[in-house]
Amino acid sequence: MKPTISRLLLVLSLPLGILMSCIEQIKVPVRTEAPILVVDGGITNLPEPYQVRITQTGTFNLPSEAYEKLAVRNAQVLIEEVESGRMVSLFPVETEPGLYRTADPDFVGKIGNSYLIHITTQDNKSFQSVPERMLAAPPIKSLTARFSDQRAIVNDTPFGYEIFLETDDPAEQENYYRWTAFGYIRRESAGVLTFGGNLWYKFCWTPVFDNSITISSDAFTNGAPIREQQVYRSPIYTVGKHFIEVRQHALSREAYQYWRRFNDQRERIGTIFDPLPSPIIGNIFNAENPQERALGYFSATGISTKRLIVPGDTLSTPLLNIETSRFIAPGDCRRAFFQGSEERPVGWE
Amino acid sequence: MNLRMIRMLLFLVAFCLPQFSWANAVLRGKVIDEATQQPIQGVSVMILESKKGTITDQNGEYSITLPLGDYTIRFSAISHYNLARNIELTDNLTLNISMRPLVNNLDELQISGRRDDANVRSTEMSVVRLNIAALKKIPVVFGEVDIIRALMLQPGINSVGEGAGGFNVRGGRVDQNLVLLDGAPLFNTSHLLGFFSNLNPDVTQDATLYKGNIPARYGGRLSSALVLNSKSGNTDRWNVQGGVGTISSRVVVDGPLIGRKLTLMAGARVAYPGVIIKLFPDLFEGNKANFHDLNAKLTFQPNDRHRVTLSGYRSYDRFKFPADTLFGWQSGTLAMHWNTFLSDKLTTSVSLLQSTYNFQVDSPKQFTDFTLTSTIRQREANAGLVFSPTANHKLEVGTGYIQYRISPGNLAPQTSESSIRPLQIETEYGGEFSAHIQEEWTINSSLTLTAGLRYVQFKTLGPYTQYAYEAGVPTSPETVQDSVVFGDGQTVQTYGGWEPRLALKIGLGSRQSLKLSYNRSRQFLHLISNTTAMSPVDFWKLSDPFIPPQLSDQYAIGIFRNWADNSIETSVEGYYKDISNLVEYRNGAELLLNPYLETSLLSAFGKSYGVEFTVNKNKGRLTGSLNYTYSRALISTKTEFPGEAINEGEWYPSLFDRPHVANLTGGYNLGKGWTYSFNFTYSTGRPNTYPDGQYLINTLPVVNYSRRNADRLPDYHRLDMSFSYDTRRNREQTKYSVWVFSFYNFYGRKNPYSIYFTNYRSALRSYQLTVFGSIIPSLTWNFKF
Repeated sequence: MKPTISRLLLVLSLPLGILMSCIEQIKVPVRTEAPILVVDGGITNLPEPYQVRITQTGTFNLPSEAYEKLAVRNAQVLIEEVESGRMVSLFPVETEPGLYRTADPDFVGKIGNSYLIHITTQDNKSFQSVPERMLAAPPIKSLTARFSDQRAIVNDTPFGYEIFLETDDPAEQENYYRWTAFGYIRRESAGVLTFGGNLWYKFCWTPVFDNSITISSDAFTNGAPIREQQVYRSPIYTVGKHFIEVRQHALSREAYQYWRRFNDQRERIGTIFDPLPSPIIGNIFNAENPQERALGYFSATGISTKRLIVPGDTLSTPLLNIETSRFIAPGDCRRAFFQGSEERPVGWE
Repeated sequence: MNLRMIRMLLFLVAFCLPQFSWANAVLRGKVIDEATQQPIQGVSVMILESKKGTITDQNGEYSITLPLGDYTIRFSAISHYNLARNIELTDNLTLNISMRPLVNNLDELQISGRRDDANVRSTEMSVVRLNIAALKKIPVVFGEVDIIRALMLQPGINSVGEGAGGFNVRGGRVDQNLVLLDGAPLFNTSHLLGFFSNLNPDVTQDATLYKGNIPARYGGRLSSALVLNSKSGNTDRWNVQGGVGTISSRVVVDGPLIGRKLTLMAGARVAYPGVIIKLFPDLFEGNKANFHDLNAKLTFQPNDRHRVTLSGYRSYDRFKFPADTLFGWQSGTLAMHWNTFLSDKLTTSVSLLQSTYNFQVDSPKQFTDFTLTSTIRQREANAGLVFSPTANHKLEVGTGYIQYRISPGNLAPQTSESSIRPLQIETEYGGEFSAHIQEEWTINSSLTLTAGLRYVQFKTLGPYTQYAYEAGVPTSPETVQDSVVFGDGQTVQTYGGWEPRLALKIGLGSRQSLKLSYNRSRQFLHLISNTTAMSPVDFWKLSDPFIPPQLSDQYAIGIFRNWADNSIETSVEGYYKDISNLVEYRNGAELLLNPYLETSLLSAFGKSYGVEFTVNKNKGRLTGSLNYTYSRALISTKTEFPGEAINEGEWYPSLFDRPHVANLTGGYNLGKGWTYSFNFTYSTGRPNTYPDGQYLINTLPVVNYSRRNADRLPDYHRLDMSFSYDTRRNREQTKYSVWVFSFYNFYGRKNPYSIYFTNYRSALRSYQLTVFGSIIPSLTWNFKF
């Protein structure tokens, strides 16, 4: 509601100020405060390694350098299963500073059990999270893809498939949802000319994902089906198949509120109708002094997944081929794109 | 005026007062407006020979005790021509006066306190009276004359920014202002989200703002009372006046309906910002905005003893996105007043009032279409009397009852296809009883005491569901353990107490005085808003078992001195305010449609203090005012659980804490109908929260704001000027036009409206948003015929 009001004001201020209102980039002196610990990760019911990113606040110009700069190294990290008292260690990942990952393949999160994280930093400070019970996620009923052309919005590609989800919300309890998605798409490059005069490595598969936080609560719709819920946008750079996997997470109320505040704070557009700036406090606190809060969230979420394969041949290709020709990269497709591979991704079809 | 006319206005009192001295007599009377026949409040009555004086009250009445003798009495008011009368005082005398409205007093232009030495003579302090007639000539944005923007040029009054709705008085919040239109409160004073105020200046007779020392008859808000009275229709002839501007046009019609007994005044203002929107079809295709407001007043005066007025007001706003959400908000009032003048010593009044405010949000989005509405309604009945047994005493007594009904939020699907489930937040009911007594006692020529006492009792009434929360942990919807349901009309909670209102004037010679005041107020109605500025979807909340009334104590001291035959008025006022039970919000609070709203709220203490310096020049070709204010407004949250406190419970500046504010306004009569006016305003930038760290979550860069309001926007300053041309050549001319050419923000200062931070291609950048960032010329045509 609030971002809408902000948008209302912004739209309104422009005609009123005619061309007198303006937005300018400025330089603001940033105060420096003592770094605060940041925890980002969680456990799910999927049999896969669980990872947690441990960093601290600071300043950076590019996110690519941020993890290197802000990483908290040499911390001891444990996930505790409250019901069994089992503690499982997370080990630092060599190539990614600040990232810690479980190594025990037998340790899989169980619906109904509660989990928390214990972190002891190098300077002997202990942090932990509020135990969170893992809830079961209702199954995803269906996914549909719809071609969209957003030429009006400045973007790297104006074309994409909007993925819409439908699910049945259980009426007997409060449900909080988060959706994440990833996929594999086809990319095209100029290719490599071989001795035989053939162009090789002209097409490849590349993984894509979206890191925006898409959440919803059934507070106003409890028990009614969730329809037309936009969960993902799969970008089109070249005509071809899209492999898409959508995960439906069952969030706790606290986790949902955390992500809602997270989005509120990120959606500031500068009007005086924005929510007031505030720190986004999650469920991590200093074990010795619970008043000292860390940032971030450690979650325990049940997940249901569903996959969708978009054939890609439904589009009127000649026009799209012309329009997307600007995305053709030079050289070897496998090198031109992130994790480009000639092999069809494993497990699809 | 000739002698015959003066005699017509004089008549002797049949009943004589018991006299304390053979040598003294009482001069009393009533001052009315010649055009509207309505009493004029705040007229300075000055005895030139003895330098004694007084001021008319809200019924236009005055009285003064004088030794027998010959006197010249001068009546002066900001919005009327001054007049003088010679009298021979041989016995008690009633002198009724009718004053001609100031249609074009070319000598006078600016807003100020009262004329002449009223500011030295009366016990009143911390009061601003606007000269509505002069407002038309001051430079304004888009040519829209705005009462609230004019008030912001006065010391102690500011806002969070250009285009923000509402105003802040002496460090008070926007919901702490009691805005009364013909006695009925307005819950929202904004059009177009705050760019304009919804008070039509053409229908407003007078506007008085009490920043402190609020008279005992007003209550229910902590910071101020803005009292607006609409005009009554002319008893002799029909008038049409209006204006055409860039954004809106206005028209007011008034005149007699049945002889002089029943008159009508009706005014309308219609805006067409859509015209500007249409100039930029690409940017704003499908956006629609409009607003209007309507005022009407019937005045029935069957004889000299009775006067009944019935007035109504409605303001309407709407804004629509293309194929998207529609926002609408409306305010309305209805007021009936019946005043009886039983004798020249006793007047009574009875009033019935109703005020409403509601907003709607309509979203047509398929499968989640909904309508959200919220309303507040207040009904009020008051009765009071004013008794002035002698010139030295004036006693005011009154009582009233207010009934509140608030529907904080009602969500409903628009179609059967919608997944939205109907949700209605419990309607709140409350009742407020009040009684007050106030005595104005002129002890001797230098000491005057105004002592008021108000008693107020508020009850939260059922139906009401009170949740019981787990002890020892912060309240949250998860910690609800039990609930108690109260039935219809059952008392849930009672709050209240005594509110002293004291003011003392100590005259220090004839040209200066020292004034002291103390004021206590309670507020049972709170605006729930977690944004920097008031927004149309903010809703109101009554005090309940979890939300005690806000309480404020204000102490003020002032020195007033006039110079050069009262042509220059100077004053210095200092104040200190202590506030408790302010409503604050937990970080990330969810407010709208929250049935457990108390779990999102915190209680806070506030304090504000300041000193205001004012110099007014009221006479001559050049008139104007200069004021400077140093003030602070601070908040501190006190919570049971330290982790919840904002800024660790330390004092931090509120959003409208602007330590240094200076305003210079002036007007110069250029002759031949031309007037040049200007405003210059400077203030410290408002507090803002800048980031003090960045981090990444899910590879998304996030900024951390750990200290609320620890930073400030750059300073604000602006110069406006206008040239106005008046076609009147003499005072008697009734058909005329006034052209106003105004330049807002003359030197095109890009004053920051906000500074915000966002990630552009994942790097953090800061941006400054300026609303009126260059010179804005406008032309307005005002007419009367």
